Amino acid sequence: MTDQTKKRILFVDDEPMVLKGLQRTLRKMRGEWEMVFTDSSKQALGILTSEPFDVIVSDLRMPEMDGAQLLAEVKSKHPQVVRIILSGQVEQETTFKSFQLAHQSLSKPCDADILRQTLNQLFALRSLLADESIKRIVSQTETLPSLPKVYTEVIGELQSADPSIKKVGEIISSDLGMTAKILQIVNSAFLGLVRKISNPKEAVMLLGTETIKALVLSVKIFSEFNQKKYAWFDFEHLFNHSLSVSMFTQTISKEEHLDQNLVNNALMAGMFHDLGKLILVTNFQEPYRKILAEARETGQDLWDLENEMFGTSHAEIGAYLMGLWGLEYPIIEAIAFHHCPAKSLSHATGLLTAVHFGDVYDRLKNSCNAENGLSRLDRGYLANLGVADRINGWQMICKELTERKV
Amino acid sequence: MQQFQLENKMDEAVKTEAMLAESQRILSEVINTIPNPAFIKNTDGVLVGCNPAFTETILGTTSKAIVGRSIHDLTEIIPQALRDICAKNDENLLKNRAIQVFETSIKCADGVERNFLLSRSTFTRCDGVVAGIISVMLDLTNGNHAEKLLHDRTAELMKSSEELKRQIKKRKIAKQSIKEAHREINHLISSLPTILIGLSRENEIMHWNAVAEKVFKITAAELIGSTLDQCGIQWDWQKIADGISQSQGKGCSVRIDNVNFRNPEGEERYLGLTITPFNGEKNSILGVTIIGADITDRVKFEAKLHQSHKMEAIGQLAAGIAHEINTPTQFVGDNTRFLQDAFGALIQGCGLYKELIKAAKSGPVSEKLIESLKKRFVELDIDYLEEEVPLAIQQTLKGVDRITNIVQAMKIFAHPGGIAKEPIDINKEIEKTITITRNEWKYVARLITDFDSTLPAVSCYRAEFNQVILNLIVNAAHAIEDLNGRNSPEKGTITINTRRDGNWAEIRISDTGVGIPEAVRHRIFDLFFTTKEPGRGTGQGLAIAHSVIVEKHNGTINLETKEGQGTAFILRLPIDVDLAEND
Repeated sequence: MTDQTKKRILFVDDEPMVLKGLQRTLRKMRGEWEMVFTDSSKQALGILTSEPFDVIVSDLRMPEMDGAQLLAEVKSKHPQVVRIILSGQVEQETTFKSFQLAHQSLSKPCDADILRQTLNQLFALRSLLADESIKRIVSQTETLPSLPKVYTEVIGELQSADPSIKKVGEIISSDLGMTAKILQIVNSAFLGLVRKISNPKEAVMLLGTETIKALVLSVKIFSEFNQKKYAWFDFEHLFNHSLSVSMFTQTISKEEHLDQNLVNNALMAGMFHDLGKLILVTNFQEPYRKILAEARETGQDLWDLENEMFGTSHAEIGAYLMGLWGLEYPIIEAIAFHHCPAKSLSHATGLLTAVHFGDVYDRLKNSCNAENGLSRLDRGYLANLGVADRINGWQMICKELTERKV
Repeated sequence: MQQFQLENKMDEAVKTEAMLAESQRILSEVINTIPNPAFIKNTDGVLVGCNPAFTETILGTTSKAIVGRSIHDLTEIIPQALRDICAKNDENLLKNRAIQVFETSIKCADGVERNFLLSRSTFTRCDGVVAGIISVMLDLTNGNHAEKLLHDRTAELMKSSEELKRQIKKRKIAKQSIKEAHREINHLISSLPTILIGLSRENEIMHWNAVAEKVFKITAAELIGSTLDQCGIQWDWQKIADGISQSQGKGCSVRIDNVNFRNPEGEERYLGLTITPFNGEKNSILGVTIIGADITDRVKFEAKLHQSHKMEAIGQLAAGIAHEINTPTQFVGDNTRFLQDAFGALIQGCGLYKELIKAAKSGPVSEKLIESLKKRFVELDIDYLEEEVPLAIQQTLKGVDRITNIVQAMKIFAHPGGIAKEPIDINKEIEKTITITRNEWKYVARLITDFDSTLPAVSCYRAEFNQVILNLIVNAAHAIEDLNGRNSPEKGTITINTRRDGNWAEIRISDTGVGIPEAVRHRIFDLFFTTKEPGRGTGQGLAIAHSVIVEKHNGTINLETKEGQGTAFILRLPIDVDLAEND
């Protein structure tokens, strides 16, 4: 009999004393969490088949069936279950392979508070997506497609006799999917970094040439967007829009003197705001193609049509994946609510505010449809934050920025 | 140009030929005109020339009739006596190249028997090779007796003078060769790239070569004649003295390594010395020679090489060790955090009791208060804590123990090693290495130990010894993994035995792995030979094991292997009997 209101977590570790320790220290969560502990991967698979779980937390190195095998099984048989690694393993080789299988990786010794926080953040995400089948699809996403020319470029550079780490960083930072993936990896607890990295160039530097090479060439963390198959989707436009919004978001964040941590995350929030579209394009080809055409013809808002069709939009989908990959909450919030900021729970000017404005402004600029003007802006939301009077100023800076760029 | 040279040469040849003809003409004139019969044979006994005195007075024939024929074929013409002398003495003469003088009676052409003195000697070709025998005869019958005496005397004198000359020459040659040998030896000694010290039976320094001068910065002149123990060098004299007496006792070379010394700059350095006794007649020992070198650089290099291999081993094990530490750290941390919370709850529980006591002191306790305290008590989860706290403490201590063990065992890496042997408890050392390698084998194998607790301490280089055991355990785990696969549910077995076998300590490390294929068995101890993929081994492990066990410990390393069934490495280390008895 499972309590529907409780989140269910399965812990797997071949060392019984680790399980005992977790059990004791997490006992205070027993009001909210239902926790099951097992020291065998095989048993874990059996348990998953008979009872539903929200999250599995697994060790990597285990006898008989190791964590990587277990998580691969979970991914294919129970994709809706969020997969987390908690391992004392430090060998990079095995660690990298696990990146493809786990949403997040924590390394032993891991403070129980951090584990609790990570799990709570994931549970908070779960409510973003109501539809279980979409949740499943998003949970199974390992890589995001990259622009073919960027993909070729990064592979070429890495395979060259003397790859320049700086150049690799530049190439990666120009691509949405690559940036997201590299940040997931660099911020995983395995690398033992204390602070969160939000700059892909810095991430590439930190990982180093050899690691990046291994990740890209052998583990294949990047994939190429199939332009023939998805000829109906203007991939390049999405990228350009994302980069513009990214810049606008950063500039506005600075202008508004947001907290330094938020300013650091601004580029990513802008960059990833439409990332959910990539998942929709590649997973729901036909329906999405129709919606896009309809939006173009009728001028209806795309996310409205998405909501009608899927019961959710690219915003929540993108936010959910980035949440699974462990990006920080302000980024997730900005992605999730960039079309309807008022739905968000935070009531302060933040990344969401900046992304919301940046997105509207850039689409206005692109559509050359001055008629609508900034009508898509949620003026009520901005007024509530007390920044309605800032709109003109933001417009000016963004305009300046665009002109400077041109 | 070439043409000209050729002409020049031709000119020379013509000239030489002319000279040759001239001298030949003179020679035959001389031979033909002397009154003494003379004849010349080649080495085959064929007559190649003779003079008229010989043909006419002795034989009564012409040279034409005999030249070109062997004297032994000319039985009718050459007198028997003459042929006999030749037959008997030619061989000896040709070999020894002396002068032979005979007196013999020969019947001459006129039918008269006459006494002749026959003097024979060899002649040589221009290249020094003996070409034949010249015989000259003197008619004694016609001459006076004095002439014969004189002749005899001369021949005798000549003989003895010849002998004397030969003796002198021999002496000269001998002296020369002794001188040369001396010079050569001195040259050799001074040019030897090693230290060479010669000692008399009383340890008096007889030799002190240039390298010794250089290494110790003391000249031979300062030392020759003084004894080695009083030469003023700061070194491990006892070790050298032991070596000398050992070599004299056994009558053979003794190698002593890593002899500590301090050079005049105060630098600590090491010598490797070989002490060899040299025997006089009847095996009496005359003294010893000490050959050696300053091996400080080698010692340092070897230490470095071992250190680098050790670093490599640490690198390979680091991930495993980290895993072994991270796991207990995780539950120690979790338990401690739990205990922190538990302590808070227990303090609150105590608070409830205090409340109860306070209430009880001021009169009967109300049912309501009891109920409320009970409820709060349950909320504090005290029953659970009562059960779990002792376990949490116990497991925390276990975790700390596990970490301590690993960290203790890791000290085998902290030891620089390489310099001095020390008595070690082999079983204990192996136990440490097992701890440190646990993560390498625990997923693929059970590890069984069967230690001989009576094994005495063995004198070893501790770090090197552990390194060997480490290599062999890791190899065993790899061999099992190769047979069963990485995540096989089947586990192999690694067995480590120790036992004493006479004056040997035997360590046997066996596995149930793939075994070593016949084709590579002879190469497994080669440096850098490996069948492992990169990252799993560099082919240094067994080479180092061999060098450590065989060269550094005078032990042996053997293996038994069967493909598909497993391998056993058997190490044998000599037990120092004195050490073992003191033990």
